[in-house]
This record gives sequence, structure tokens and C-alpha cells, in this order.
Amino acid sequence: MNYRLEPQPYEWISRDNAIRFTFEGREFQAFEGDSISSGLLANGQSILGRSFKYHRPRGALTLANHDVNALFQTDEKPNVRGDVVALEPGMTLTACNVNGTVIKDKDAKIEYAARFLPVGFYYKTFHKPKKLFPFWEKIIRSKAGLGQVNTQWDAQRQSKSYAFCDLLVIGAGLSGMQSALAAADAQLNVVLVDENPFIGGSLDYQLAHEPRVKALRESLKASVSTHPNIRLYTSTLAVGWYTDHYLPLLTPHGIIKLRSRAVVHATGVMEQPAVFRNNDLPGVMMASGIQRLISRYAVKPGQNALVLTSNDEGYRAALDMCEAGIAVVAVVDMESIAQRGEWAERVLAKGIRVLEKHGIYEAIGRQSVQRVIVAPLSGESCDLAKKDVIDCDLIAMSVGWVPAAQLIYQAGGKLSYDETLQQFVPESLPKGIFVCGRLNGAFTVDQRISDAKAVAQEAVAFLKGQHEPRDLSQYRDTTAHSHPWPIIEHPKGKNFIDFDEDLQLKDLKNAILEGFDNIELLKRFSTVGMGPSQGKHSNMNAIRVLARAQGLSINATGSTTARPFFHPVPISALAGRRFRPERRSPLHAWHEAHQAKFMEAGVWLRPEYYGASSARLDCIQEEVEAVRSRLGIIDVSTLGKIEVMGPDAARLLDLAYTMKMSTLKQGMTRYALMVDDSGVIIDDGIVGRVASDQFYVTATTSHADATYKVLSKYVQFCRLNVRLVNRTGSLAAINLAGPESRKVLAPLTSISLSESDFPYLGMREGLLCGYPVRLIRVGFVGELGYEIHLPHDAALEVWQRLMAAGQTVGIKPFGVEAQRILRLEKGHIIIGQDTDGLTHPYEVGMSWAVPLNSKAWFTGKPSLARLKSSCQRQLVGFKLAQGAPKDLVKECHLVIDNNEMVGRVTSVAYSPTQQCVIGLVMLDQPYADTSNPIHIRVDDGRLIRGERCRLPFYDPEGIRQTSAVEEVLL
Amino acid sequence: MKSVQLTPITDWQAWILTGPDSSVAFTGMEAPAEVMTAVFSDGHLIAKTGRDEFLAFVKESAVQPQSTWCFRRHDRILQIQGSAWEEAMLCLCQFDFHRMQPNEWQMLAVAGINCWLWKDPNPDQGILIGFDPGYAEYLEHIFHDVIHELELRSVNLGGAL
Amino acid sequence: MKLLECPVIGKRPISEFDYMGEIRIPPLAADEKTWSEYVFNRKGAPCSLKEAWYHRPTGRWYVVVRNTLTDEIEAHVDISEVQYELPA
Repeated sequence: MNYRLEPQPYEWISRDNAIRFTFEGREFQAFEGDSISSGLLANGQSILGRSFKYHRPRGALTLANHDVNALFQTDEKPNVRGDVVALEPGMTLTACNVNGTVIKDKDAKIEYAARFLPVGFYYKTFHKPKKLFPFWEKIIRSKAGLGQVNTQWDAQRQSKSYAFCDLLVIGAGLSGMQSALAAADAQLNVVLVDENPFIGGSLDYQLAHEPRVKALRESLKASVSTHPNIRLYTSTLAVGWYTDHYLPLLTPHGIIKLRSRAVVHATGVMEQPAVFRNNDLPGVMMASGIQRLISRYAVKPGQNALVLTSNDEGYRAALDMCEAGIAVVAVVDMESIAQRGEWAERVLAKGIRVLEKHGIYEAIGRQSVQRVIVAPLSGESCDLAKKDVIDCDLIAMSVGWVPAAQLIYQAGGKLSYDETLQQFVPESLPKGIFVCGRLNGAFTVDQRISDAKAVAQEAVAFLKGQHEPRDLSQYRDTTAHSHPWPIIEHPKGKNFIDFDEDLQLKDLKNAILEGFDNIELLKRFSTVGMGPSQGKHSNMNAIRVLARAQGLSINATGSTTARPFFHPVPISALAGRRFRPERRSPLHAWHEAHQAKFMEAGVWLRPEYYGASSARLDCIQEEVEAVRSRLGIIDVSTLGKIEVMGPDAARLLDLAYTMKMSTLKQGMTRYALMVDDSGVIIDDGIVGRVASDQFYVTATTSHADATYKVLSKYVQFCRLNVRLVNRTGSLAAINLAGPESRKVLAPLTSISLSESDFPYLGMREGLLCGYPVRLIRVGFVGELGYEIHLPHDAALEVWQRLMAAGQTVGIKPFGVEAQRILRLEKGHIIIGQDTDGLTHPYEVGMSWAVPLNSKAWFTGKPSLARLKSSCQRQLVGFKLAQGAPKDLVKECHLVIDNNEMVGRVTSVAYSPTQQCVIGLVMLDQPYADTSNPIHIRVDDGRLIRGERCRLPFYDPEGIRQTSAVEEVLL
Repeated sequence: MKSVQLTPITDWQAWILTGPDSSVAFTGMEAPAEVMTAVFSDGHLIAKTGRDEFLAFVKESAVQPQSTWCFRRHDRILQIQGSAWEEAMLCLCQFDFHRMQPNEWQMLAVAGINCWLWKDPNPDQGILIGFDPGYAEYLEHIFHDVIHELELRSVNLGGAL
Repeated sequence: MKLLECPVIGKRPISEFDYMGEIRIPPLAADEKTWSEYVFNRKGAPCSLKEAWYHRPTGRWYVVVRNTLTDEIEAHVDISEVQYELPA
């Protein structure tokens, strides 16, 4: 049977585009624009899912994402919300949490054990004995679970973007459209968002057949869609509010991070269920849910309807159902019909039976509603002596509303309970947060228009800095649209408050009796409002139950806190585009063309070594060997390079570095060690003096920006007359190292390289291959070497000329790994590898770099003065026996003594010059003070013995880097 | 159809000048007086980035600035223009480009990289963005991705979109 | 606070800044206790804190008074007001 109605005036479906999909293996047909739920309902599939705990059959309730009765699983996605997710051609769906099919769920028998499964049952029963919990957890999860995550998922990222506006209006219903328009007319730059694919909100489903709003609807829709000051985003959710009006807008393309100057919430209200026995049977729906189904999807939810109401909206829904050809068998009004308006008159005029001051005692039916027991209300219960049984297959509940105020709570707004409206309404709002419409208690069309115009005016004034908060209650309705107690007791229960979590009235009452009598405690113990719909249909009734049990007002009972996100946000949207900066040296392309294997060094990519990865160790060894015996060349462009100039330049460096820089002679360099206030080493480099008032400072690759920042902080806060220029990216740097370096370099440069003109640690300026360069005699790798600092655009040419000139002596480019071995042979530490966040100079044998007596002050001096005599650790060199495997000991392996950890390996490598494995260990001071051998626990658990060595391992006198190379070779 | 074009600008020599004599380093060129403003004239772009600090982008053929502390820079400079250049930038940078005035100079983070931006007074010319040359591949790659995505994306409703 | 409004550069997202903590002057001739107090302890209780913020893209320093309870900026302070001398 087809449940599709004749075309409706504002329907979302496109009847020209039929789509086919399968549910539980059966093929169905629907239209483009259908949601999953409407597509199934159009085919007469009234059971859409099974409940979380008892596996009760569930059908459509709100059609608005205020419940999760209809949760589906596709091949890729779990927990697809059928009410709001559009059908796609070829979709293959099953229901979540079903063992079998939704019609025949083998786990439905769990319901018969319901009375043995009270709230708190799992907490109380399964936590002892602890070791059995994993067993029970597995069973509970499979029986009471949500969807299955596809672990073969595809990594997807949706890009994010930023947006800015004066005013964000959330909700494009009557109030939202009107306020957006008024604000845009006042020249504000407005963003209007709505979660639905079409604008119009409740105008299009609650007032679809109301002739008086036809012209208004058309004019508002047309105006907001074309206004030059409005950006309209449909199918877009404002999923959270963050400080300074920063709101993530979840669009189908990903997240827009919107920065607004103010926000108008026109998010409306969410309909609440009545609580009676079997109120969760398929066929029991919110009146607004029925109206959505009819107006948006043209689907007929039943043949014979009964309306339970306590407001005008119920009568309006009855008329809409008549219009759609549904027989309305009765309207059951919980209050007196005398207080109803024209809608009730029109219902009576149609000859529909109206029962006033009645309630529903119970709905009856196996898989869906078949009949209803109604009875006069007597106090809070039903007078069963006068009960009536009415046959129907559809129950429309229209007993009350709650404001969609989640984002207002997030922003720090306060709501209070209005006894006239029997609804929460905003009471006080933070700066820049505004509200209007039904959310604010304005219910009639006239009230909503006035409220929307007033809020726009208020927002405009606020943005001009002339804000006077308005009287929020000015356009509020004067009659209640919610019933204060839409709840009917039943001795057999199954009167549900929370449909997500299968919570019945008695579950909450028992929890309160057990002492969980505060709204936050009640929530956590009973889990009310903690399901996927996050209390959208359950919190209000839970508050009413708690308030009554405690004899408190609703205000005194309070509400739970709403947190982001308002709606689940896919991880792909949260992930966004990947911003992982990657920095390349000007020689990158050359390295790439010469088989460099790259590694990350901070944000930089650096050659680790050159050659085939299958021969990694051999390549590295050859590179080391080339530097030691002939000539190597390495790209060190990643070094931080800072120019320090001005009358106070020397003073700045004296403050920032441990060693005295003011005594440095022009044209000379000095090792520079930087510690923080606590004496911990944070960076090292060299300082070279260019002129009396100009220095050139280098910093380690990963600390360059931080070092610049530290220096600039002194300049600013210690009133120093110094200028800094960070030249890291504008200059390249190349280290030419090895006994042949002078011979190869000399013909290419204007600078005299003789030992007397250019000694070790000297710095010279001049030309190299015609480019202006600075040369520095450095000794990091322990050979005669020149660090060449040159313009970024000269790097490639100079590098190639050096390679060509070095051809005859067998020059070899070397990478970071070879450099690490070379410096390890020299016993030079690498900050951050051989040091950690607590290491001070005395622990790494650098007391020579801490002039406590000769300097009045440098950062960290008082700490180091104290630490000098209380070292807790010591960096010590070690080597393994010749012939020991080259890669057995690794960095971070532990040093063990009598089964206790006494240290760890910070650096280790096979040294070609020493012909054995060498390394550094950071030892606890007591063990360092002994002369015991070092036992290192390696991956397989064995202890490997190493012998202590004095540092450096190679050329302890430093002859090779300091003297004329000819002398060394003799 | 949305369009964004990315063009590298390579006909400038870039300089950073600092110190007391930096403001008199520009012979025959107009230099800005206010910090964080820029002047574009005769094909040169000069921005004042500190009390006595300037970034200067000078045509190769012109006399280059000279002062005691004057250093070459090698900024990678891209021109981003086309109907959707703002939209492309908004995928990478938290800045309200809609409010950016002609000739406005800004220094901000784009895709995690510190950049300078200058809005050409001719609206068809879009903006210039300059940054450390080491990030050229990274940023250009991201820009190409963003532009590709924008060209595929459907247009939203609303008069302002 | 997600935006920090500063002189010259205007309103900027705090992701462009490095937070450098309270402005503190090292106690020069301090005894051990005062010095370790300075090195290891920071004010944690809510208060109006005079803080340094570093804007990375421009390399500019800002000093603000921030209410650490409400996370609002109460005042901007000229750096010259918080400068200090260190021994040569």
C-alpha cells in the first residue's frame, strides 16, 4: 500500500526523481528529498527501529532529530539518523540494535525481564567480581548497543573555512527570517543558518494551510534569499558556541568557523511527549512530527487519528490531518476547551468528537497502536470508572514545548520557568546574545514578527555600542502552550520519559528515592538525557518529575548543562584540512635528485643520508669516512641565523647566554649556551662578532624561532638599544668539512684561508663564487671545516661549484645521520637529544661554559650557582667491545645496575674511526661516581656490557680542527 | 564559475632595513610613516613594520635601498586574484578579508605560516602574500588544493553569496 | 578569550600569539628561597595578571592586564612601564 499523499504546497520531495534503496535486504522506492524515515513510512514500514534496552518496536516520533527511534546503519556509517538524513539512491540500510529484523527482533524477549533490570542494575550487578566485567560488558554492549563502526574506514577530511559577519541568525523560520531581514535592512552583514534543506521552519508545516501567512511566507523567503547583506546557509547546523561568538557551522561540505559580532537565536521550540503507558508504540507521534511528515514528505502516517492536546497547536494539527484525509476520531484535551481559540471552533465545526479534561491512560497494540484507553482526569490520574476505549492507529501528542536553548546555555545565558507559558524562557543573556520567537515565548504570528523586529533593532543598537537590553517578555504569549504535568501514572509502567534510554516514569522515581535527587545526579544515575538525542525530548519531563517528587518549583529544580556539540559532528569535518608546515632548504631539489633520504627536523626536511635505503648503514659509514679522510659537504641551512645590532648588542648577548660575549674580538666566534631561569639548557649555537655593535648568532634548527623570541624579549623588557633581524630563511648555510676543505675552498673565495689570517673559530666576510658570504671556522664534526653562510638564491650555484671543485679529492655530501656520528666521536652533545627538560650544564660536562665568577649576571646564574655542587646526573661516554653488533643498543635503552635503572642511553652509533659502537649515557650521579661498567638492557631483555670512556672519543686534543691541516697529516 | 589565480611575483628585490638611518635609506622612493602600513608607488612596495624597521620590495632596475643595517630577504611572493580569492584565503586564514582596505598591509598566520599580505588598490589584482621561501612548496600545494576544491563546490543561496 | 585586541595590529585570534606568562622581574640579590620561589612558582589564584603576549607574525610584544577569572582583558600596558634593569 502506498502512503504517499497528493502533492503538498511546500513539500521537500522531488516527485520526478524516484530513488531506489534497500532496507533489511528488501528494495524500496522513494523520492529524492525523502529522509530515510519518510521513505520507509511512505512504503508502510511503520517500525523503524528497536529501542536501546528492551528492544521494543519504535516508529517515527518527531521527524526532527529530537529522538533517535530511527537509527540506521549503512556500510560506511553507524547511527545514521533516519529522520534527518536524506535518502540517497542505492542506499543499503539496516536498523541499529536489532537481532534479526525490526519486525521480528530476537532480542525483544529482553522486555519480559524488564522488571529485573531497574535503573542502576548494570552498575550494581556487574562491577564485582572485577575480572568478570569484560565478559558482561561484551554481552551488554551487543544487546544494548548503537551501530557498528566500520574499521575498514576511509580516511576523509573535509576542509574548514573561516567566515565573519556582524550578526548570525540561527534558525530560518518566521522569527529568524524576519529578524535577519530587519538587521540586513539596517546594513548589518548577516549570516542566516538553518539545519533544514529548506527555509521556512514551522511556517511550512504548522501553518501550511493557513491562508493569512501565505503572502508573508513568500515575501520573507524571497527577501532573505536575495538580500545583498544576507548569506544564507541551509542544511547547516550551528553546533556550538565558543567565546567571542565563535561558532562552528556544520555544512554538508565541512565546518565553517564563523566569527560573529553578535548572535540572534531564533531556534524555536521542541515538542515534548506526553507520558502514558505504551507512549512509545509506533503510531504515537508528536503532533508536529505528523505535520512535518505530511507537509515536507507528503506521507500519511495513519488512517484514524486521536489527538491528545493541551494547547491550540493540537487542534491545528487535527485540522491538518483532516486536510490530508486522515480521519480524526477524537481530540482529547487535558484542559478545558473554553480556553481554546478559533482552531478549536473549527475542529468542533467539523463534528470531531472533543473530550475535554481527559487524558490517555494507555495505548494498546502489539507492534503499533490499535486502540486507546481515555478517561477523565481526576487530579493527576485518570478516573477509570468513566474510561472509554477508542480505536485508532495514530496518536498525535501536543502537550508542550521546550526552547531549543542549548547554544544559549553554552554562551552562559540563563533561562527561567515561566508559569504563564509553563515553559522555560530566556531570563538573562550574555553580551551579544539575543533571542526571539517561540524560543522566547512569542507564539502567535504577530508576536513572532514583533519580537523578531525588536530583536533586530536591539542587535543593531548593540553593534553600534548603544545597547539597552530590551524587555524580553514584551511579546510573549499570555496563554500556556505546555501542560505542567503531561504525565499519567500506570501500575504496569512502560510510560516512557526517555525514548533513547528506555527510561520509564518509575525508573526516575526510584532513582530519586535512592537519593539521586538533584537534576545532575538524576541524569547521571538514570542516564536520562544522556542518549544520542541529549535530552531534547526527555529533559523537561524529567525535571517535572523531580520537581514534583521534591516538592520544589521547576526553577528551584533547575536544568542540566548543555555542552557542545548540539549535533554529532563527523570526525572528517572536525579533522579539517591538514596544516602541517613543511620547510625546505634551497638545496632540497638537489638533495632529491641525488638520492637523499629525508627526515623531519622540526618543521624542516633534511637529508638523513644519500643512497639506497637498502644500504642505509653503509651509506652513512661512507659519508663519515669521507669527512674524516677527505672532504664532506652538508646543507645546514636549517640553522637559526640572527643578526644582532646596536649599542647594547653585546650586553644583550651577555644576558641571554652563559658565556661572556662582550669580550669577543671582532672576526671571532664563541660557543653560545642558553639556559633558562632554572639553569636548564634550552639552546646552543655560536656567536660571532661582525663589528663592535654587530653580532651574528646561530641557533639550533628546531629552536631558531624560540631563540629569536627570547632575544627580542630582553630587548623589549630590559630597554636595550638593539635591533634584531631573523635571517634564518633568507640565508642558506653549507658546512664544508674534512682535511681537504681549505684546498678546495681557497680558489673559489676572495677570503684568505691561511691559518694565520683565518684561525679556528674565526669568522670572515668576503666573496665566494662572486656572492657575498660569511665563513666561520667551526669544529662541530671535528675536522678542519668552514661553515658558509650565503644568500638563499646563491645556495645552489655555490653548492654545485663546491661539488665540482671537490671532485678530485672525492668530496661526498653527507646527511644528518653521518653528522650525528661525527659529532658523537667528538663528544659534542645535541640539545634535546642528549639533554632533556631538566638537564643543566654541569650534568653534561660543560662547567667550562658557566663563568659563575666573571659575570655579574646571566639568565639562570643563581640556579646554576646552586646546582654546581648538587649534580644528580652525569653524561658519560661508553663503548662496546669490538665486534659487538652495530645496532643492538639503541637510544633510550636503560642502564641497569642490580635490577635498578641507573641511567639511559642518549646517543649511540657505530664509529668507523673507533671501529666499535660508541655512545653517551645519562647516569644517576651515585652510579656515575663509581667506575663500574655500564650494563645496557637491549630490546630482547639481555644486558650488554659497555666500558666507560673519556670524551671525546676522537682526536681528544682537537688538533685536526684547530691546526693547519698539513701538520696533522704529517 | 569561481576562479582563483596564483601568480608568483619575482621581479622585486626584497630588503629588510632596521636602525635609526633606515627611514632615509630610500632615495627617490616614498616610504610609509605609520607602523604596519605600506606605500606602493613607482612599482615599489615599502612597508613599515616597526619604529625604525622597513620591509622593501624594489624593482630590480631601480637603485636599491642602502643603510647601515640593510639585509636582503628572499620572500616567496604570490599574487592571488580572481572572483573567489577571498574565499580561498578564508580556507587558510582567520582574517576578515572583506573588510581589508586597498593598500592595507597585514602580517598574520596563513595555514600556520607567518605571512605578510598587501591588498592591491586595483580590486582586480587581488592581494599579494609573502612568506619565507622555505615554505613555498608547502603553501603553494595547499593553495592549489583549496582552489581545486572551491571550483568543485556548489554555490550557496543568499544574495550575498 | 579567543580574540586579543591589540594596538597597531587590531583584533587577532589568540592562535597567532604565544602566551609568555606573567611579567616577572628576576629578584637579583635573592636568597635561595626567594630565588626558587621565583623560578618554580607561579600565581594560580584568579586575579588581574599583568602578562606578556608575543604576536608571532609581526614579532610584536604586548603587555595586558587580564582577569584570569573572567578571561577578559582589562587594560593594555605600555612596555616602558614594565621594563627593568639587569646588571651588566
